[in-house]
Amino acid sequence: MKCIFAGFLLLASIVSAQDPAAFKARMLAYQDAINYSKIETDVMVDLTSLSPEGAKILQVEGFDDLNDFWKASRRDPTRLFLSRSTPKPPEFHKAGTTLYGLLYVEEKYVDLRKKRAVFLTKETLVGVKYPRGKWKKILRFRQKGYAGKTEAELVRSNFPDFPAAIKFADPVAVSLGPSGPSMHPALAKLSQPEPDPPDIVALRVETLVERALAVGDFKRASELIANGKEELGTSARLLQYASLTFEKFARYEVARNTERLKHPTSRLAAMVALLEIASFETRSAKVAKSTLAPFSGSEELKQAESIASKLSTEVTP
Amino acid sequence: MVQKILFLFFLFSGILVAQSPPQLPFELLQQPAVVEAWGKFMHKQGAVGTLIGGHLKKADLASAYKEWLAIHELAGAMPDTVKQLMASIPIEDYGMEDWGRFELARSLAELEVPETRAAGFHELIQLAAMSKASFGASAKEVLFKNRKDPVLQAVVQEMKKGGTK
Repeated sequence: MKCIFAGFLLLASIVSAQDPAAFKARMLAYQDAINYSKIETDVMVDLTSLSPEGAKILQVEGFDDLNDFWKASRRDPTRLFLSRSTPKPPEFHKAGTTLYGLLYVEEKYVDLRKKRAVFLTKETLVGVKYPRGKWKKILRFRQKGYAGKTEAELVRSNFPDFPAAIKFADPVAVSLGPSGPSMHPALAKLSQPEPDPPDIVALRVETLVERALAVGDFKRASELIANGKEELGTSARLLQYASLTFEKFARYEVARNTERLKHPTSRLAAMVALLEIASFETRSAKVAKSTLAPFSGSEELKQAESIASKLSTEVTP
Repeated sequence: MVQKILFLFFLFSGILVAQSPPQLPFELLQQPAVVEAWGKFMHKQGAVGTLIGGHLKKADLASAYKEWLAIHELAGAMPDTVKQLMASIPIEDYGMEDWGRFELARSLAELEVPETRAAGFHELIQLAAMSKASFGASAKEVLFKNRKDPVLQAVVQEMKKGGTK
Protein backbone atom coordinates (compact mmCIF):
# COMPACT_ATOMS: atom_id res chain seq x y z
CA MET A 1 0.00 0.00 0.00
CA LYS A 2 2.82 2.30 0.96
CA CYS A 3 4.61 1.44 -2.26
CA ILE A 4 1.53 2.42 -4.28
CA PHE A 5 1.35 5.68 -2.36
CA ALA A 6 5.03 6.36 -3.04
CA GLY A 7 4.56 5.54 -6.74
CA PHE A 8 1.62 7.91 -6.90
CA LEU A 9 3.66 10.70 -5.33
CA LEU A 10 6.48 10.01 -7.75
CA LEU A 11 4.18 10.17 -10.77
CA ALA A 12 2.54 13.33 -9.46
CA SER A 13 5.92 14.99 -9.11
CA ILE A 14 6.87 14.03 -12.70
CA VAL A 15 3.62 15.45 -14.08
CA SER A 16 3.82 18.64 -12.07
CA ALA A 17 7.41 19.21 -13.22
CA GLN A 18 6.17 19.60 -16.84
CA ASP A 19 4.44 22.78 -17.84
CA PRO A 20 2.56 22.09 -21.08
CA ALA A 21 1.55 25.70 -21.59
CA ALA A 22 5.12 26.92 -21.27
CA PHE A 23 6.39 24.28 -23.61
CA LYS A 24 3.69 25.09 -26.17
CA ALA A 25 4.58 28.77 -25.99
CA ARG A 26 8.23 27.99 -26.55
CA MET A 27 7.37 25.71 -29.45
CA LEU A 28 5.24 28.41 -31.06
CA ALA A 29 8.05 30.90 -30.65
CA TYR A 30 10.37 28.39 -32.26
CA GLN A 31 8.02 27.90 -35.19
CA ASP A 32 7.86 31.66 -35.66
CA ALA A 33 11.61 31.85 -35.51
CA ILE A 34 12.12 29.30 -38.25
CA ASN A 35 9.30 30.51 -40.49
CA TYR A 36 11.47 32.95 -42.35
CA SER A 37 10.82 31.79 -45.90
CA LYS A 38 9.48 34.44 -48.22
CA ILE A 39 7.72 33.98 -51.50
CA GLU A 40 9.57 35.57 -54.39
CA THR A 41 7.64 38.50 -55.79
CA ASP A 42 7.89 37.26 -59.34
CA VAL A 43 5.81 34.20 -58.59
CA MET A 44 3.26 35.95 -56.44
CA VAL A 45 -0.19 36.54 -57.75
CA ASP A 46 -1.06 40.16 -58.28
CA LEU A 47 -3.78 40.74 -55.75
CA THR A 48 -3.72 44.50 -55.84
CA SER A 49 -6.28 44.77 -58.64
CA LEU A 50 -9.42 46.62 -57.80
CA SER A 51 -12.72 44.80 -57.58
CA PRO A 52 -15.72 46.25 -59.46
CA GLU A 53 -16.88 47.86 -56.28
CA GLY A 54 -13.60 49.61 -55.80
CA ALA A 55 -12.57 47.55 -52.84
CA LYS A 56 -9.05 46.34 -52.88
CA ILE A 57 -8.81 42.62 -53.06
CA LEU A 58 -6.10 42.83 -50.47
CA GLN A 59 -8.95 43.38 -48.06
CA VAL A 60 -10.11 39.85 -48.70
CA GLU A 61 -10.39 38.17 -45.39
CA GLY A 62 -8.20 35.16 -45.37
CA PHE A 63 -5.60 36.64 -47.66
CA ASP A 64 -3.09 35.01 -45.41
CA ASP A 65 -4.68 31.70 -46.24
CA LEU A 66 -4.24 32.35 -49.93
CA ASN A 67 -0.70 33.29 -49.21
CA ASP A 68 -0.28 30.08 -47.27
CA PHE A 69 -1.88 28.15 -50.08
CA TRP A 70 0.64 29.44 -52.59
CA LYS A 71 3.42 28.82 -50.14
CA ALA A 72 2.25 25.26 -49.57
CA SER A 73 2.04 24.68 -53.31
CA ARG A 74 5.52 26.05 -53.74
CA ARG A 75 6.77 23.64 -51.11
CA ASP A 76 5.03 20.72 -52.78
CA PRO A 77 7.90 18.32 -53.51
CA THR A 78 5.88 16.59 -56.20
CA ARG A 79 5.72 19.68 -58.38
CA LEU A 80 8.43 21.72 -59.96
CA PHE A 81 7.05 25.14 -60.80
CA LEU A 82 8.38 26.71 -63.94
CA SER A 83 6.16 29.77 -63.94
CA ARG A 84 3.11 31.11 -62.24
CA SER A 85 1.40 34.31 -63.22
CA THR A 86 -1.94 36.07 -63.51
CA PRO A 87 -2.49 36.89 -67.14
CA LYS A 88 -5.52 38.98 -66.28
CA PRO A 89 -7.01 40.58 -63.19
CA PRO A 90 -9.55 38.69 -61.08
CA GLU A 91 -13.13 38.55 -62.35
CA PHE A 92 -16.13 39.05 -60.18
CA HIS A 93 -19.49 37.34 -60.65
CA LYS A 94 -22.68 38.21 -58.87
CA ALA A 95 -25.24 35.59 -57.90
CA GLY A 96 -28.10 37.30 -56.15
CA THR A 97 -26.48 39.22 -53.39
CA THR A 98 -23.35 37.11 -53.25
CA LEU A 99 -20.25 38.11 -55.10
CA TYR A 100 -17.68 35.59 -56.22
CA GLY A 101 -14.16 36.55 -57.10
CA LEU A 102 -12.57 34.36 -59.70
CA LEU A 103 -8.89 34.60 -60.30
CA TYR A 104 -7.44 33.36 -63.55
CA VAL A 105 -4.11 31.86 -62.77
CA GLU A 106 -1.81 30.35 -65.28
CA GLU A 107 0.81 28.07 -63.96
CA LYS A 108 3.22 25.82 -65.64
CA TYR A 109 4.77 23.06 -63.68
CA VAL A 110 6.28 19.66 -63.96
CA ASP A 111 4.42 16.98 -62.10
CA LEU A 112 7.23 14.86 -60.79
CA ARG A 113 4.92 11.95 -60.05
CA LYS A 114 3.47 11.73 -63.53
CA LYS A 115 6.35 11.35 -65.90
CA ARG A 116 7.19 15.02 -65.79
CA ALA A 117 4.26 16.26 -67.80
CA VAL A 118 3.87 19.98 -68.29
CA PHE A 119 0.62 21.04 -66.81
CA LEU A 120 -1.28 24.22 -67.46
CA THR A 121 -4.14 25.27 -65.28
CA LYS A 122 -6.46 28.22 -65.07
CA GLU A 123 -9.24 29.59 -62.92
CA THR A 124 -9.05 29.57 -59.20
CA LEU A 125 -11.87 30.89 -57.08
CA VAL A 126 -10.35 33.49 -54.85
CA GLY A 127 -13.08 34.54 -52.53
CA VAL A 128 -16.73 35.06 -51.84
CA LYS A 129 -18.33 38.23 -50.57
CA TYR A 130 -21.59 38.02 -48.73
CA PRO A 131 -24.07 40.91 -48.62
CA ARG A 132 -22.48 43.65 -46.54
CA GLY A 133 -19.98 41.11 -45.37
CA LYS A 134 -16.29 40.71 -45.76
CA TRP A 135 -14.63 38.68 -48.43
CA LYS A 136 -14.27 35.05 -47.47
CA LYS A 137 -11.34 33.12 -48.75
CA ILE A 138 -12.63 30.00 -50.43
CA LEU A 139 -9.56 27.90 -49.94
CA ARG A 140 -10.11 28.06 -46.22
CA PHE A 141 -12.73 25.38 -46.67
CA ARG A 142 -10.07 22.96 -47.69
CA GLN A 143 -8.98 22.92 -44.09
CA LYS A 144 -12.42 21.97 -42.82
CA GLY A 145 -12.54 18.34 -43.76
CA TYR A 146 -13.03 18.70 -47.49
CA ALA A 147 -9.82 16.95 -48.36
CA GLY A 148 -10.24 14.69 -51.33
CA LYS A 149 -12.99 16.70 -52.97
CA THR A 150 -12.25 18.74 -56.03
CA GLU A 151 -12.22 22.52 -55.91
CA ALA A 152 -15.42 22.70 -57.95
CA GLU A 153 -17.25 20.27 -55.66
CA LEU A 154 -15.98 22.21 -52.74
CA VAL A 155 -17.37 25.47 -54.06
CA ARG A 156 -20.71 24.08 -55.13
CA SER A 157 -21.25 22.17 -51.91
CA ASN A 158 -20.67 25.31 -49.92
CA PHE A 159 -22.28 27.82 -52.24
CA PRO A 160 -25.36 26.36 -53.94
CA ASP A 161 -26.03 29.64 -55.73
CA PHE A 162 -22.64 29.68 -57.37
CA PRO A 163 -23.54 30.53 -60.98
CA ALA A 164 -23.47 27.38 -63.08
CA ALA A 165 -22.63 29.44 -66.13
CA ILE A 166 -19.29 30.38 -64.70
CA LYS A 167 -16.57 28.32 -66.12
CA PHE A 168 -14.67 26.95 -63.22
CA ALA A 169 -12.38 24.13 -64.01
CA ASP A 170 -10.72 22.37 -61.20
CA PRO A 171 -7.00 21.79 -61.64
CA VAL A 172 -7.27 18.60 -59.60
CA ALA A 173 -9.90 17.22 -61.96
CA VAL A 174 -7.64 17.41 -64.96
CA SER A 175 -6.48 13.93 -65.75
CA LEU A 176 -2.98 13.46 -66.92
CA GLY A 177 -2.04 10.90 -69.49
CA PRO A 178 0.57 8.28 -68.79
CA SER A 179 3.14 10.40 -70.59
CA GLY A 180 3.51 13.42 -72.77
CA PRO A 181 2.10 16.88 -72.33
CA SER A 182 -1.19 17.32 -70.55
CA MET A 183 -3.69 19.99 -71.32
CA HIS A 184 -6.26 21.85 -69.41
CA PRO A 185 -9.79 21.01 -70.67
CA ALA A 186 -10.16 24.63 -71.74
CA LEU A 187 -7.48 23.97 -74.31
CA ALA A 188 -9.10 20.78 -75.58
CA LYS A 189 -9.76 22.41 -78.92
CA LEU A 190 -6.11 21.95 -79.59
CA SER A 191 -6.54 18.31 -80.41
CA GLN A 192 -2.94 17.74 -81.31
CA PRO A 193 -0.83 17.48 -78.17
CA GLU A 194 2.08 19.85 -78.21
CA PRO A 195 5.50 18.25 -77.97
CA ASP A 196 7.44 18.89 -74.78
CA PRO A 197 9.53 22.04 -74.95
CA PRO A 198 13.28 21.36 -75.36
CA ASP A 199 14.14 22.48 -71.83
CA ILE A 200 11.68 19.97 -70.40
CA VAL A 201 13.06 17.18 -72.59
CA ALA A 202 16.57 18.12 -71.44
CA LEU A 203 15.46 18.17 -67.82
CA ARG A 204 13.89 14.74 -68.15
CA VAL A 205 16.97 13.29 -69.83
CA GLU A 206 19.25 14.85 -67.21
CA THR A 207 17.27 13.28 -64.39
CA LEU A 208 17.25 9.86 -66.02
CA VAL A 209 20.97 10.07 -66.77
CA GLU A 210 21.71 11.01 -63.17
CA ARG A 211 19.62 8.11 -61.93
CA ALA A 212 21.33 5.65 -64.25
CA LEU A 213 24.79 6.88 -63.28
CA ALA A 214 24.00 6.81 -59.57
CA VAL A 215 23.54 3.06 -59.89
CA GLY A 216 26.62 2.73 -62.08
CA ASP A 217 24.78 2.07 -65.35
CA PHE A 218 27.01 3.87 -67.85
CA LYS A 219 25.53 2.04 -70.81
CA ARG A 220 21.99 3.21 -70.05
CA ALA A 221 23.17 6.77 -69.36
CA SER A 222 25.02 6.85 -72.66
CA GLU A 223 21.97 5.59 -74.53
CA LEU A 224 19.77 8.17 -72.84
CA ILE A 225 22.08 11.00 -73.86
CA ALA A 226 22.28 9.72 -77.44
CA ASN A 227 18.48 9.40 -77.69
CA GLY A 228 18.01 12.80 -76.07
CA LYS A 229 20.34 14.43 -78.57
CA GLU A 230 18.40 12.84 -81.40
CA GLU A 231 15.09 14.04 -79.96
CA LEU A 232 16.34 17.56 -79.34
CA GLY A 233 18.05 17.98 -82.68
CA THR A 234 19.28 21.56 -82.92
CA SER A 235 18.74 22.06 -79.19
CA ALA A 236 21.04 19.17 -78.28
CA ARG A 237 23.36 21.63 -76.53
CA LEU A 238 20.79 21.61 -73.70
CA LEU A 239 22.16 18.20 -72.75
CA GLN A 240 25.53 19.66 -71.88
CA TYR A 241 24.89 19.21 -68.17
CA ALA A 242 23.96 15.56 -68.67
CA SER A 243 27.18 15.02 -70.64
CA LEU A 244 29.21 16.69 -67.90
CA THR A 245 27.59 14.47 -65.29
CA PHE A 246 28.48 11.44 -67.40
CA GLU A 247 32.07 12.68 -67.63
CA LYS A 248 32.24 13.19 -63.85
CA PHE A 249 31.20 9.60 -63.17
CA ALA A 250 33.45 8.23 -65.90
CA ARG A 251 36.43 10.11 -64.43
CA TYR A 252 35.70 8.69 -60.98
CA GLU A 253 35.38 5.17 -62.37
CA VAL A 254 38.66 5.44 -64.24
CA ALA A 255 40.47 6.70 -61.13
CA ARG A 256 38.92 3.96 -59.00
CA ASN A 257 39.79 1.15 -61.38
CA THR A 258 43.31 2.42 -62.01
CA GLU A 259 43.87 1.73 -58.32
CA ARG A 260 42.11 -1.66 -58.52
CA LEU A 261 44.46 -2.78 -61.30
CA LYS A 262 47.17 -3.07 -58.64
CA HIS A 263 45.33 -5.84 -56.81
CA PRO A 264 45.31 -9.33 -58.41
CA THR A 265 41.78 -10.15 -57.23
CA SER A 266 40.21 -7.09 -58.79
CA ARG A 267 42.52 -6.61 -61.80
CA LEU A 268 40.31 -8.42 -64.31
CA ALA A 269 37.17 -6.59 -63.16
CA ALA A 270 39.05 -3.28 -63.27
CA MET A 271 40.08 -3.99 -66.85
CA VAL A 272 36.49 -4.77 -67.79
CA ALA A 273 35.35 -1.50 -66.20
CA LEU A 274 38.08 0.49 -67.95
CA LEU A 275 37.24 -1.13 -71.28
CA GLU A 276 33.63 -0.11 -70.75
CA ILE A 277 34.61 3.53 -70.14
CA ALA A 278 36.99 3.41 -73.10
CA SER A 279 34.08 2.51 -75.35
CA PHE A 280 32.31 5.85 -74.76
CA GLU A 281 33.04 9.15 -76.38
CA THR A 282 34.35 11.01 -73.36
CA ARG A 283 37.62 12.52 -72.24
CA SER A 284 37.97 9.77 -69.66
CA ALA A 285 37.90 7.19 -72.44
CA LYS A 286 41.36 8.35 -73.53
CA VAL A 287 42.63 8.06 -69.97
CA ALA A 288 41.12 4.58 -69.67
CA LYS A 289 42.79 3.48 -72.90
CA SER A 290 46.18 4.81 -71.82
CA THR A 291 45.79 3.09 -68.43
CA LEU A 292 45.20 -0.22 -70.17
CA ALA A 293 48.04 0.26 -72.67
CA PRO A 294 50.72 -1.47 -70.51
CA PHE A 295 48.56 -4.63 -70.48
CA SER A 296 48.23 -4.70 -74.24
CA GLY A 297 48.53 -8.23 -75.61
CA SER A 298 48.31 -9.87 -72.18
CA GLU A 299 46.05 -12.86 -71.64
CA GLU A 300 44.29 -11.04 -68.84
CA LEU A 301 43.34 -8.10 -71.07
CA LYS A 302 42.16 -10.48 -73.79
CA GLN A 303 39.90 -12.18 -71.27
CA ALA A 304 38.67 -8.78 -70.06
CA GLU A 305 37.93 -7.76 -73.65
CA SER A 306 35.92 -10.92 -74.16
CA ILE A 307 33.86 -10.23 -71.00
CA ALA A 308 33.41 -6.55 -71.88
CA SER A 309 32.22 -7.36 -75.39
CA LYS A 310 29.78 -9.94 -74.02
CA LEU A 311 28.42 -7.39 -71.54
CA SER A 312 28.14 -4.64 -74.14
CA THR A 313 25.91 -6.79 -76.35
CA GLU A 314 23.52 -7.49 -73.50
CA VAL A 315 20.26 -5.62 -73.92
CA THR A 316 19.54 -3.04 -71.24
CA PRO A 317 16.21 -3.87 -69.61
CA MET B 1 9.98 1.13 5.54
CA VAL B 2 8.23 4.48 5.31
CA GLN B 3 11.55 6.23 5.73
CA LYS B 4 13.03 4.22 2.86
CA ILE B 5 10.11 5.07 0.60
CA LEU B 6 10.36 8.73 1.50
CA PHE B 7 14.09 8.64 0.86
CA LEU B 8 13.54 7.09 -2.58
CA PHE B 9 10.76 9.56 -3.35
CA PHE B 10 12.96 12.56 -2.54
CA LEU B 11 15.84 11.02 -4.46
CA PHE B 12 13.77 10.57 -7.64
CA SER B 13 12.14 13.98 -7.25
CA GLY B 14 15.56 15.55 -6.87
CA ILE B 15 16.81 13.85 -10.03
CA LEU B 16 13.76 15.00 -11.98
CA VAL B 17 13.99 18.58 -10.78
CA ALA B 18 17.71 18.69 -11.52
CA GLN B 19 17.06 17.69 -15.13
CA SER B 20 16.66 20.80 -17.23
CA PRO B 21 14.06 20.58 -20.03
CA PRO B 22 15.42 20.14 -23.56
CA GLN B 23 16.25 23.44 -25.16
CA LEU B 24 15.07 24.45 -28.60
CA PRO B 25 17.56 25.52 -31.29
CA PHE B 26 16.64 29.21 -31.16
CA GLU B 27 17.11 29.18 -27.39
CA LEU B 28 20.48 27.49 -27.73
CA LEU B 29 21.58 30.03 -30.31
CA GLN B 30 21.14 32.74 -27.71
CA GLN B 31 23.92 31.24 -25.61
CA PRO B 32 27.35 32.66 -26.61
CA ALA B 33 29.26 29.56 -25.47
CA VAL B 34 27.08 27.30 -27.64
CA VAL B 35 27.40 29.60 -30.63
CA GLU B 36 31.16 29.74 -30.23
CA ALA B 37 31.56 25.96 -29.95
CA TRP B 38 29.19 25.40 -32.84
CA GLY B 39 31.02 27.98 -34.97
CA LYS B 40 34.32 26.20 -34.31
CA PHE B 41 32.77 22.90 -35.29
CA MET B 42 31.33 24.33 -38.49
CA HIS B 43 34.74 25.77 -39.35
CA LYS B 44 36.32 22.37 -38.80
CA GLN B 45 33.59 20.72 -40.82
CA GLY B 46 34.26 23.11 -43.71
CA ALA B 47 37.96 22.22 -43.65
CA VAL B 48 37.16 18.51 -43.55
CA GLY B 49 34.78 19.03 -46.46
CA THR B 50 37.68 20.29 -48.58
CA LEU B 51 39.70 17.21 -47.64
CA ILE B 52 36.81 14.86 -48.44
CA GLY B 53 36.34 16.59 -51.78
CA GLY B 54 40.03 16.10 -52.56
CA HIS B 55 39.90 12.39 -51.71
CA LEU B 56 36.78 11.84 -53.76
CA LYS B 57 38.36 13.56 -56.73
CA LYS B 58 40.94 10.76 -56.64
CA ALA B 59 38.17 8.17 -56.08
CA ASP B 60 39.65 7.45 -52.66
CA LEU B 61 36.48 6.63 -50.79
CA ALA B 62 38.26 5.04 -47.81
CA SER B 63 40.22 8.22 -47.01
CA ALA B 64 37.09 10.33 -47.46
CA TYR B 65 35.31 8.02 -45.02
CA LYS B 66 38.08 8.43 -42.44
CA GLU B 67 37.70 12.21 -42.54
CA TRP B 68 33.94 11.91 -42.35
CA LEU B 69 34.19 9.56 -39.39
CA ALA B 70 36.57 11.94 -37.62
CA ILE B 71 34.12 14.80 -37.92
CA HIS B 72 31.36 12.59 -36.53
CA GLU B 73 33.60 11.67 -33.61
CA LEU B 74 34.31 15.34 -33.03
CA ALA B 75 30.57 16.02 -33.05
CA GLY B 76 30.13 13.24 -30.50
CA ALA B 77 32.68 14.85 -28.20
CA MET B 78 30.88 18.21 -28.22
CA PRO B 79 29.09 19.46 -25.07
CA ASP B 80 25.48 18.34 -24.71
CA THR B 81 24.09 21.77 -25.51
CA VAL B 82 25.96 21.85 -28.82
CA LYS B 83 24.85 18.28 -29.54
CA GLN B 84 21.26 19.38 -28.96
CA LEU B 85 21.73 22.15 -31.49
CA MET B 86 23.44 19.88 -33.98
CA ALA B 87 20.72 17.26 -33.70
CA SER B 88 18.57 19.33 -36.05
CA ILE B 89 21.39 19.98 -38.52
CA PRO B 90 22.74 16.90 -40.30
CA ILE B 91 26.48 16.66 -40.73
CA GLU B 92 27.53 17.10 -44.35
CA ASP B 93 29.01 14.13 -46.20
CA TYR B 94 30.17 16.17 -49.22
CA GLY B 95 28.97 13.56 -51.71
CA MET B 96 30.68 10.64 -50.01
CA GLU B 97 27.46 8.67 -49.56
CA ASP B 98 26.56 9.13 -53.24
CA TRP B 99 29.92 7.82 -54.40
CA GLY B 100 29.67 4.99 -51.90
CA ARG B 101 26.32 3.95 -53.32
CA PHE B 102 27.79 4.19 -56.81
CA GLU B 103 30.66 1.87 -55.84
CA LEU B 104 28.21 -0.46 -54.15
CA ALA B 105 26.08 -0.64 -57.30
CA ARG B 106 29.14 -1.30 -59.48
CA SER B 107 30.28 -4.06 -57.10
CA LEU B 108 26.85 -5.69 -57.14
CA ALA B 109 26.97 -5.68 -60.95
CA GLU B 110 30.35 -7.42 -60.78
CA LEU B 111 28.79 -10.19 -58.70
CA GLU B 112 26.53 -11.02 -61.65
CA VAL B 113 29.45 -12.02 -63.89
CA PRO B 114 31.25 -15.21 -62.80
CA GLU B 115 34.69 -13.90 -63.84
CA THR B 116 34.36 -10.68 -61.85
CA ARG B 117 32.44 -12.09 -58.89
CA ALA B 118 35.53 -12.35 -56.69
CA ALA B 119 36.44 -8.73 -57.45
CA GLY B 120 32.91 -7.71 -56.56
CA PHE B 121 33.17 -9.40 -53.18
CA HIS B 122 36.62 -7.90 -52.65
CA GLU B 123 35.16 -4.44 -53.21
CA LEU B 124 32.16 -5.15 -50.99
CA ILE B 125 34.43 -6.20 -48.13
CA GLN B 126 36.23 -2.87 -48.41
CA LEU B 127 32.92 -1.00 -48.49
CA ALA B 128 31.62 -2.99 -45.53
CA ALA B 129 34.58 -1.76 -43.50
CA MET B 130 33.00 1.69 -43.75
CA SER B 131 30.07 0.43 -41.72
CA LYS B 132 29.02 3.78 -40.24
CA ALA B 133 28.02 4.99 -43.70
CA SER B 134 24.77 3.73 -45.23
CA PHE B 135 26.51 2.12 -48.20
CA GLY B 136 28.85 0.29 -45.80
CA ALA B 137 25.90 -1.14 -43.92
CA SER B 138 24.32 -2.23 -47.22
CA ALA B 139 27.56 -3.88 -48.29
CA LYS B 140 27.64 -5.73 -44.98
CA GLU B 141 24.12 -7.02 -45.57
CA VAL B 142 25.05 -8.31 -49.04
CA LEU B 143 28.09 -10.07 -47.65
CA PHE B 144 26.04 -11.62 -44.89
CA LYS B 145 23.51 -12.94 -47.40
CA ASN B 146 26.33 -14.47 -49.44
CA ARG B 147 28.38 -15.64 -46.48
CA LYS B 148 28.26 -19.27 -47.63
CA ASP B 149 29.35 -18.46 -51.18
CA PRO B 150 32.64 -20.29 -51.86
CA VAL B 151 33.88 -17.38 -53.97
CA LEU B 152 33.43 -15.01 -51.04
CA GLN B 153 35.07 -17.44 -48.66
CA ALA B 154 38.04 -17.74 -51.02
CA VAL B 155 38.36 -13.95 -51.24
CA VAL B 156 38.26 -13.66 -47.45
CA GLN B 157 40.97 -16.33 -47.12
CA GLU B 158 43.12 -14.59 -49.67
CA MET B 159 42.67 -11.21 -47.96
CA LYS B 160 43.60 -12.79 -44.62
CA LYS B 161 46.74 -14.25 -46.15
CA GLY B 162 47.61 -10.92 -47.64
CA GLY B 163 47.13 -9.27 -44.27
CA THR B 164 44.29 -7.10 -45.47
CA LYS B 165 41.33 -6.63 -43.24
